[in-house]
Amino acid sequence: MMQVQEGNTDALQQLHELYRHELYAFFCRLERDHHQAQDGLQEVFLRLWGARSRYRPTASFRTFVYTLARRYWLNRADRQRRSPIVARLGDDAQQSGRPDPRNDRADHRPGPADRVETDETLQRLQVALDRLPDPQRLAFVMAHYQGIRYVEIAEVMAVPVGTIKSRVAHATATLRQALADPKRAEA
Amino acid sequence: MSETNQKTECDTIQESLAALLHDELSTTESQHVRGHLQQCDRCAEELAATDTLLAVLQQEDIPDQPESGWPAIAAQIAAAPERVATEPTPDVDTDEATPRGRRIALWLSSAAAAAAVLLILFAGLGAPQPLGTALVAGTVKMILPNGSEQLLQPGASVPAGAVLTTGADGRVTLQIPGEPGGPTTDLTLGSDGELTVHTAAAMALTAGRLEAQVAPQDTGFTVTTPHGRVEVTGTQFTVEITNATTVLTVREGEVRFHAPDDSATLVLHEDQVAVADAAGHLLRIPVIGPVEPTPTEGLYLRVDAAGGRTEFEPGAPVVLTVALAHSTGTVRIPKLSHDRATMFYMNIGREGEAVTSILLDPANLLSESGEPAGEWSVTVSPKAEYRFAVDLTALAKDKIAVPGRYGVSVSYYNYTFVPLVPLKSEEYTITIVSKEE
Repeated sequence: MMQVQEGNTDALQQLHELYRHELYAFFCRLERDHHQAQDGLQEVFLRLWGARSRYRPTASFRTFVYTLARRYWLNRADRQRRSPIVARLGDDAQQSGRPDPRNDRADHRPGPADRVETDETLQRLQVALDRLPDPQRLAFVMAHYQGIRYVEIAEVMAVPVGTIKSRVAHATATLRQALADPKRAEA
Repeated sequence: MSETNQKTECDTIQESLAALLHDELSTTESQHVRGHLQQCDRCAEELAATDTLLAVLQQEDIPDQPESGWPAIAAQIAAAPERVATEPTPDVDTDEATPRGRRIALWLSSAAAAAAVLLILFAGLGAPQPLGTALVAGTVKMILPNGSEQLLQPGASVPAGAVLTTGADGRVTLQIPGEPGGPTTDLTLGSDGELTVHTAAAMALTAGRLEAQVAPQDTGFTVTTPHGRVEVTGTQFTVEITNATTVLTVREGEVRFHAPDDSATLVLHEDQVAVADAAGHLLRIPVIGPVEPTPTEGLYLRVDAAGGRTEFEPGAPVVLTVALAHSTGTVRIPKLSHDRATMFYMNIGREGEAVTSILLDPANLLSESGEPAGEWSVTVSPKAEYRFAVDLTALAKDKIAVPGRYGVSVSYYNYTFVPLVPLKSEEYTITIVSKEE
């Protein structure tokens, strides 16, 4: 990152290579739209380049880059709420006839009946995840899918660690209800 | 243990289950939770259900990343390295409607289009038409549309298309006539400034500070900067380009502040301030105290409990109010949130250790009448005192149950990327008294 601060784009490319899968997965978990995930990844690295002079070695690079990603996603989420027509991955696949990558499961999965049931369960959980308040959704995705420590998430979201614990707990409780009570989740 | 206490204990444990499975509890906390789980079947079932949930969620695949995406990033940096490179960290959490590359392209294309329009205008006009006269102090230069440069003399006419530049000692006021018998539009460009006078109602400020007193207009009067566009129909305002941003201060009337690509617009009124950064983000900034020169003067916070109580029994409600008021002027706080520019925290400590820290949520913000304020934006004036009602027993029931003295402080933070800069802080002490004492 020090080399990036000096204007070295090769160093930026190395950071991109190191983090692109992780950040792409982060945006996919939040949106499940690979086009938007790709846009998000690109935007974060452009912001990283633009903000490189603000980076301080006291902050971990991961915290720094996730802070950029969080802000970008929140802004985009706000915008999408104002323009509610959002094509999600599943909609896109249905409309275009292209396969939905979520259905492209590996063979080690359970048998067909179980698979359908599991997919339905996952879709129900995804809906519940989408409906979570943004702060809970971000905290849960970072903690559960990205494996980021609560203390780092607290830095990224600029709140105390206890708040992150609370947000993850609330998100988990909501998802638990969705798993246990499909009708309530769909309400 | 009473049923009520059992519920409280189970609730607390169940809120810790995700953290337990994420290995985020301290050794002490973990031992406490596990000890409870060994004795409580209900919580043990909750743990199993939470574990199942997390396992199910792990089964969700994500699509493969189709491409690296690096070439697109490299191309955008190569196309506009300085513009991208000088963008500040997005502390300003405003709308990001246009992808960076498209925004750059829009800015470049609009600038090119404006230049083309000007060339066409000047080619057809022949001698430039005078728009107003200049009141000059110090060194001020004028570059005419034909490229010729001259020192501007007091009382000189300024034609359309002229570029005015002021030196370190320079200052120029351009007076543009309004309606017959009506007021003039007075534009004062401060030192080290550069102003292009496109028409009588369209200016471009590229450096320095412009104070504008705009006469009533039938159509909009605009001042464009690299970071945004100011539009009025007659009012007073100041535009200043500083540190790669444009700062707009409204002195009177209503001013519209547009992002360069028109993706966002702020409407500002008297004494309101907004900033646009190099990426075209717009943000209202809180004006605390007089607009100039000390931005934090006058705001105060006060922690108080109903009836002046400072002692509470364990388990009894502990409701504090945090008063936010202003001693001399008006403070405009756009949004009280960690995701925005300002936030308030209540920090609770005990004998030198931090117990908990609570973000004072806007939902707790009460208006003078005691009703929820409804909106996050508040204007605090000397006459108004807004209060946050904080029920510590609800927010920190597991943290302050132990008898003892607790320090409570409230801090008002202005969010910046690396440090959280406390602007104001107030301290208070409460005591939880054991029933046995």
